[in-house]
Amino acid sequence: MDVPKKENLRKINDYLWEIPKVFRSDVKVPARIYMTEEMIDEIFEDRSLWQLTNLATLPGVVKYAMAMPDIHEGYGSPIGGVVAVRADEGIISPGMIGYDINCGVRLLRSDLDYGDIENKLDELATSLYGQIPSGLGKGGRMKLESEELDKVLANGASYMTGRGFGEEEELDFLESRGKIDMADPSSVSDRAKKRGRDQLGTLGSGNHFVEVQKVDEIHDEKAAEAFGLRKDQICVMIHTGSRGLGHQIATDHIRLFLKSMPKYNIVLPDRELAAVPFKSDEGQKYFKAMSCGANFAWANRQLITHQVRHAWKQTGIPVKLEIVYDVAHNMGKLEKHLDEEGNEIEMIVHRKGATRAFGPGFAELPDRYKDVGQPVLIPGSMGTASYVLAGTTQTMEETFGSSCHGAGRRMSRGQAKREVRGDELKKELEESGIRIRAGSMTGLAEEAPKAYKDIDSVVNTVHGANIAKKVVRLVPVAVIKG
Amino acid sequence: MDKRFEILEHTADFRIRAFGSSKEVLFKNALAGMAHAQKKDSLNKKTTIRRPIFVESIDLNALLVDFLGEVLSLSDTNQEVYTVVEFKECSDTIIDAELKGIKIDQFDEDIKAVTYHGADIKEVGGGLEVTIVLDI
Repeated sequence: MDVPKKENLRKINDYLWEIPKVFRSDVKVPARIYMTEEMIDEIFEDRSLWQLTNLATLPGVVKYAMAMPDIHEGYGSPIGGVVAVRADEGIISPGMIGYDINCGVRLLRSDLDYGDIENKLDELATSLYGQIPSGLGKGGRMKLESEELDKVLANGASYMTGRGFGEEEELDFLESRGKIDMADPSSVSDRAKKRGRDQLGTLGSGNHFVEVQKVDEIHDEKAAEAFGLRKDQICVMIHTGSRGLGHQIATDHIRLFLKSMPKYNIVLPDRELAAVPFKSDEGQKYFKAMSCGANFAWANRQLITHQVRHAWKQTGIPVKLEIVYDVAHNMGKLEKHLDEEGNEIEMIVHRKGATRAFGPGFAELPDRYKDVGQPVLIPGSMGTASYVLAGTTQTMEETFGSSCHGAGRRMSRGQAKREVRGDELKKELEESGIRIRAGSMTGLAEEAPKAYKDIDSVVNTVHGANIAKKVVRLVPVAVIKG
Repeated sequence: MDKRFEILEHTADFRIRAFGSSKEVLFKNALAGMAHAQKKDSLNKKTTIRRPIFVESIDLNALLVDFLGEVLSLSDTNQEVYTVVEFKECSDTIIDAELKGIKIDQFDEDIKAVTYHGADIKEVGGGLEVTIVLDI
């Protein structure tokens, strides 16, 4: 195992490093990491750089295998990994997308300021906790029959708005309008469907959450205005994904790809990177199934949005909650980008723990965002800050329109539980003005702020590298977790 | 009694190191380790559920991961934890067996998947050992 050391890295600028092709004989392109000098030593603490160089061996990989500044060791790919592969002759890899397909973030803005609800926060937090199923193995209130589940898989968020859970106009504010057209429910196994049948409208556990936040700092007045954000404004952030359905789709196809790889003469250094040609029957079936998983996650966040609105209504606080944006950070997307020769070609952009961050002018963006770029939502760890950034023209040129996704863990769950008592953490956060509603004090301890890397450093790196620009910083005032 | 498994620390996931004098014993102990991860007191409870399981894989390492993956899937779907496996067949690429377990109200850990990450069965000290990484 050739694990890169610091002397193998070439500094390109204050925010970008490269592992040249000469480092390993089996790589097809260099590997690049967005990172500052101050943070660089952390990346040698795990095997994330070895994983990054493995990405550079994928057939059809274009330009560079990349990692964002929240890089840490994952399965196959490091978290924070981005790889674009030629659609005509390259591969698709479920491990490069992740088990939680379309784990992602949605931000809602309200028409209220912090002062309007400060005295009602306890009531609001309790109402949200009561309305949104969260926690280990918790099923939702909506149990879907087969036919209805297939409609969710095929249509994503638009199925939910069609059922009255939100308005059709708000689909414009979701990445891909909350639906990938290539989804085909017949490509999803019965086993995956059984796992997902009663999980729509649920958060799950771990680092998934709903947070009531307030806008703490404005960094870009023009973009903030376009996004409808102002200082002290109350927002709601939702972080969750495709639940058991997505996990099973990934498991099913990694297993199938491992069996299929020999017939395509594909050999890779890590089983979790199992891949087949995108144009093959197996590749197409996975993409259709992955699209179903993505659609399920968007439908999930749409139903949770409805539950948030309902919870708010239960408190009697008049409010209008509108979607700022909804982004995925585990996804494979068919997009057009420039290759090494400057030709625009179709690619499958694999983002694992990385967020799409398209720049100004992008056709899919709602008109009010076209001048400033796509909102990029970066959740912080519990009790710390979250950010809204905007994609830039440079993002499109350098990273296939990709940016970071969050802070990343720096401490094991076991260590967090030994160092932090959940009930003491809850008391500490509440004393600092953050209401906590959590199903498990152990789970709360695992998600303690000290267990995560510094979100400000991660965001400042992408801002400094100009692969997304800071727009606003938000801080939590209420946290709902499983 | 020989150690069946141990839980290892890692930053973002759950790791089980399982031990066994043979591949069947190794697989049984890896199952026990995952059951412990799913529900801490499950190994002390009398089993009341039986489910058949059949898995076919490319090699022994993949067989273990695919077996545990299949168990996880059954577990999640049925709200059950399986603590015992009785093999009818356990070759290097095929498992035909019966699982035994218990119904549960809630899991202690939400396991997304059993990964192939570092799954490499080794001979150590006259027995077999493997580390399995669970994505949580």
